Amino acid sequence: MARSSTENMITLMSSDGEEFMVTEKVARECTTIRNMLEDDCVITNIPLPNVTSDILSMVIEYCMEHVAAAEKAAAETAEKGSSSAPAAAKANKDLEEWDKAFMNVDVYTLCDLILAANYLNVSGLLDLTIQTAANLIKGKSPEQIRKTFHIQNDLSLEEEEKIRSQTPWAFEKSE
Amino acid sequence: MAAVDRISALPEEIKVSILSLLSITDAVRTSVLSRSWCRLWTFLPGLHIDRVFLNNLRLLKGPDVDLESRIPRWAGIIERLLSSLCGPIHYFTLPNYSRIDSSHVNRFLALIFQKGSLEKLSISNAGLFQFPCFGSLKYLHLNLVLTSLPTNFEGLDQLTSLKLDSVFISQRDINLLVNSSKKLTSFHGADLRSLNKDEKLLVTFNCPLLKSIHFQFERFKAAVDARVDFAPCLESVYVGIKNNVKELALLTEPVMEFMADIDHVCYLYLDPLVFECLSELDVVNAPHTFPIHFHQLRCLKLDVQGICTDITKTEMFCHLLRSMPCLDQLQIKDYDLVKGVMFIDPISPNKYMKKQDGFHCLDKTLTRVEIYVKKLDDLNHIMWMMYLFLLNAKVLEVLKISFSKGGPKVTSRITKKLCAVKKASLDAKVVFVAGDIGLES
Repeated sequence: MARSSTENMITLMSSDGEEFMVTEKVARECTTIRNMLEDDCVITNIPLPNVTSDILSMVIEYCMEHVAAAEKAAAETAEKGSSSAPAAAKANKDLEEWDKAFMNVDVYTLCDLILAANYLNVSGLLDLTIQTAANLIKGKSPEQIRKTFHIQNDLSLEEEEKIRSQTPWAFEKSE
Repeated sequence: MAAVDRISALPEEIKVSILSLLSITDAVRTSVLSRSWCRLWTFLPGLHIDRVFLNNLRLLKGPDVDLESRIPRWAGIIERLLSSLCGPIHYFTLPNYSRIDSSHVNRFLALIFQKGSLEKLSISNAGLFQFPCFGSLKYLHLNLVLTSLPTNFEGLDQLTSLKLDSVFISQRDINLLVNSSKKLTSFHGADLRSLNKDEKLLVTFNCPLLKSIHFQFERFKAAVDARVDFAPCLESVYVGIKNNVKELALLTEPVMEFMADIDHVCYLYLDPLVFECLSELDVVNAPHTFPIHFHQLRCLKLDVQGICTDITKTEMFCHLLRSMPCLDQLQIKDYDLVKGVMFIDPISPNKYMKKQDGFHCLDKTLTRVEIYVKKLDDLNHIMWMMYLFLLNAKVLEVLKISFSKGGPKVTSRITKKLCAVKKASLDAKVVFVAGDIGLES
């Protein structure tokens, strides 16, 4: 990725004290950080006490990929005068594939990413992670969902039976 | 690693947004996961009912009618879902489903009305129903319904998008819906009819913020017309005609009146029947003028048949171009260029494209032309169009030909022929795109 030397660099510090140098453009993908920068433009060091280093590095990876894709699309548009629909469609598909591969994580990481995306307000990443979580629930029986997410069932048998009886149609198997 | 339940520990609003991405059945099923999940789905901000849901209910065992309330089981289930939701309910969708009747819809809407704050409503196949005064409604889509507004209806002042498909409605009510909201930006109306059998429905737009109109004319038993009185922000208009119209000539006048009202738009999309209907205009007596002058139009999309082979249509096409002095982009979708006209000679472009003809847009503004054809094998037909623009458009930058059938052999043959052409614009590039899905509407 071409990067001009004059571009502002920002240091993000994770909860466990690790520092990440990123360009201002990448940092601005996080609305929370963008707001901080707009309030105080000389800020160069931002502590993020809610995000661990392994999750922060993933969030940065996501933001860098999406910034690079947007820059590439903008450069192509500038070069040709207008963007060609098939090329744009292919770029979109590539980015979708990248997102899909990026979401190949265990449920712990997924939940941490959801929290980080929510805290840092990265709307694209929040949508992506929430959709991934929904896909893990879709079409599954309660027992399968509990197993996937390690949810402890703290309902008594009677309580569970009572809840089921209120919406029996949701628990009947349809082929 | 110890099995830790991380998802249950997420903030409630995040868990609810996960549930809102699921079908209602999947969302309700999470109620037995654990104590912290059991009421979570009732915080959902709305209800999307789809056909899959209703069809699955039909397959369930047990009586089809709720024994207590004597309403059909599916309707009882939706009512209980609506009652269970904590509200406010922001959205509600009901699909096209044969068993829905107005009494159900009225009960659903009454329940939603109690919980307030409805922003998005989409209802299909509902018979005649009474529409409550949802003051917060922003998006309304009615499909296959008869509707009447309450006599004390004061309008939907938050409404921004109104979509009506096959709706039976009275003259008073349609204009109340369209004009009561000063915020309306988008209107879509197709197959509108009056509730009174022989009454003609006239939709009059008086909308300060309206940006786009999608309107379909029809003349089947009762008619529907549209007039634009006041819409200073109008940018784009789609004009269509329902395809079962027999006497197209009858529509020429109302369509022309409507088009005269929208002569200030930037984007215009005409469907094949509208183009045909305009071709009924007596072009022989007015050889070089189209009665309406689209002085701000920048993008024209045409969906036409036989533009290269039918002399009346060619004339009309040239008239349209002349009436659009600022046209920058032109998209033509001629999906059946070849069918049935194989042996007709294409019209010579030079015959219609003389300098003195006053094609201001060809001289000054037209930079991009896109033509979509189904099959790229009829050289002469497509060549006519290509010559027309390459020889005459002086500021043309791109001439794009998209096609779904055809091959590199044909494109190389065309390219070879084009080498001999003295292009009016030296910058003009010719691009072929195979397998393109065509122009999006």
